[in-house]
Amino acid sequence: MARSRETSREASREGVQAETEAPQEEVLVLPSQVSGDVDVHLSYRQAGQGQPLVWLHWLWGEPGWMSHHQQLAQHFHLYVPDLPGYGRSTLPEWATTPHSLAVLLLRFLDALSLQQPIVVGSCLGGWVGAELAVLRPERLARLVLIDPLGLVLDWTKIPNIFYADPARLPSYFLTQPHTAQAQAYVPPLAEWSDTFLLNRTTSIRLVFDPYLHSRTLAYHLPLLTTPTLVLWGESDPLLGPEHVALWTSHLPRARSAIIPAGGHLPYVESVEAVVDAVHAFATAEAEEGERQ
Amino acid sequence: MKIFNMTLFGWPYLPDDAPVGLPGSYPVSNEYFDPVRGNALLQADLDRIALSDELGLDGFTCQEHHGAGGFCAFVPSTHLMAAAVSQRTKRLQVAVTGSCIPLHHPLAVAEEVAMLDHLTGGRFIWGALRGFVSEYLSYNVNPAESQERFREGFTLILKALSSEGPFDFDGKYYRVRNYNIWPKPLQKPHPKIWMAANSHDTLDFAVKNRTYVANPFVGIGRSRESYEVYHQLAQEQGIRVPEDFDDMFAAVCVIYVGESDKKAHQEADSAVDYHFIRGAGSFDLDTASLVPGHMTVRGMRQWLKNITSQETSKGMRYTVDESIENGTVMLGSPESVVAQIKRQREEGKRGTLLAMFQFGNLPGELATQNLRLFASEVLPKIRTV
Repeated sequence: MARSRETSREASREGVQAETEAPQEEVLVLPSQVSGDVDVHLSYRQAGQGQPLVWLHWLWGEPGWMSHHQQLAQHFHLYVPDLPGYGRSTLPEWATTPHSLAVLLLRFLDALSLQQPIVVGSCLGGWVGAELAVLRPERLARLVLIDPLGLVLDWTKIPNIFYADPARLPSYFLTQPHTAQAQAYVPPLAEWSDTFLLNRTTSIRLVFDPYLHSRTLAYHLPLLTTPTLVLWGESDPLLGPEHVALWTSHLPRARSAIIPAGGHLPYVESVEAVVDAVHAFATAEAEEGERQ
Repeated sequence: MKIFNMTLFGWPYLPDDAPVGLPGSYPVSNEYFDPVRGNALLQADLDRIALSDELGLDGFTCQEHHGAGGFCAFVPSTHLMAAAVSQRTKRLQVAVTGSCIPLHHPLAVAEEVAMLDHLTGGRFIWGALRGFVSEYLSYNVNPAESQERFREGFTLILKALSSEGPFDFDGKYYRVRNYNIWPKPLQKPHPKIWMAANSHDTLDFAVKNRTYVANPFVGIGRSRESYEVYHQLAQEQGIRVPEDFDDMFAAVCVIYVGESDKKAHQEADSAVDYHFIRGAGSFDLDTASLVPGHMTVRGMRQWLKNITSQETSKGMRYTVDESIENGTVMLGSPESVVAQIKRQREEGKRGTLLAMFQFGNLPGELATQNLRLFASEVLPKIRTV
């Protein structure tokens, strides 16, 4: 097993198309802890070795094992769970907010005994990651938020992504909506799968009102002392980079970087820049200013 | 057959270039609403409802819509309309089909239902409605909660209407401690209840709660299916169907009676088209139906199949002849309309028609003429249908 990983890294060093081994798909069952509640099934993919890195996907789910996963799995032991209610993961009836997902994700980290993981969250995943780190800031080594939802300057100015002309929908997230990579994330109407419909259904349950944000998160963020990197797509059509300052002003130990040419999911347009930024931040020694 | 005057209070003056029915075009801007003309329409409709009472129709009903969400109808509160009608009629049954439960506090609905029962002197029929997704966009209520809120709200309303003395209620969305409504309704234990039901799940909920069923605008084939599913579900669960269920099994439709078939078509075809194309277009049905959460994934899958198929989606955009054929429109000479209504009972199992005599941009005088002709030439011949 370890050898085959070695081989694939070798191959990528030689400039061959990144072909890490296929990720393993597994399902973790979190047993019910409250009388009358149900078990929660969390499906996830994992690959690579080294320090654990947990990737929390965006609002409408991870369409597959994408190139940023492949590249991150060359440096880390990468875990990509389907958030509760997405893909094959189940959503218990009580879980109605990203905060609830964070509670379930903490149980996921504990169940897999992931020590000091790096948590990277995109969009909704960023919001969940922030809620998770607020609950247990010392539980994580680093936190990376990529164009996170959760804090917004004026929600009424953000396009309505639930009631929208489907032909225009991709342009709310992606700067080049017609590439194959982009269409994997926001497919044309005729290609909406049942999983995509389910993911959208879960997403509206979580973020419809208040729209894409929390009315309490900003007041909790001073507790988020995990070293945090806020990454933002330079041309995010949904939430502009002016939101970077909103986050860094509330986070005690944050730095930020802009991903040139990136949209709301900047790893679609600029995968190397995102992977490099995550890798550099995850492996850097803690800076003086970041020490508590 | 029982005939209710279903008054839409729709807006007939949308200009041809008004952006309705386009993807993402909801809501229709209220720059198109002229208050003076609107007030005249409202008064004329109320006059026709009073006339329906004099002419011997069985009832009145209206539907709740917000922000021009359905046919640009201006009925944000069915309860207000029912209150107004209660004071202008003497014998008509006054119904609402219905109150969009998740948009209101269930206790307020229960209190108003009880008040309306008194205002009508026991002539009131209540209707429970989840409503179209646009209503949820209007009030920014999460469409994904609509089903749960509808069911929980309905349960609370029923409890409030029937309870003798204060009660408690512990729900996910609504909690009540030590409260009872004042007044209680006049009818015991409460007014009859119509549920807007079409899907298997909602029909099952109607069966379990022993309500009657009112179909929205659907063809008579769909009505018959609903009727059969209701009875099948009742039988499976050992629940007795109310004795007068058949007479109360209702559906919304359009009725237009002219002196002859030809005259009826001449007078009303364009208004039917306006209703189904311009008016229904204010729903922006295709895009709005893609809002997740309001429908199940299975329902959305079916919808997607329809709108991405080779044919252009029809939504509600049927021609007059197609609408007559599928039973949403009855139009023609008195003899033709009598025959069409008989078919409603025989093929659609419908016992009550929630009939629009004013629809689309039909001129008011034709709507009144329609109503009078219907009452004199058709009504006597369908009483025993």
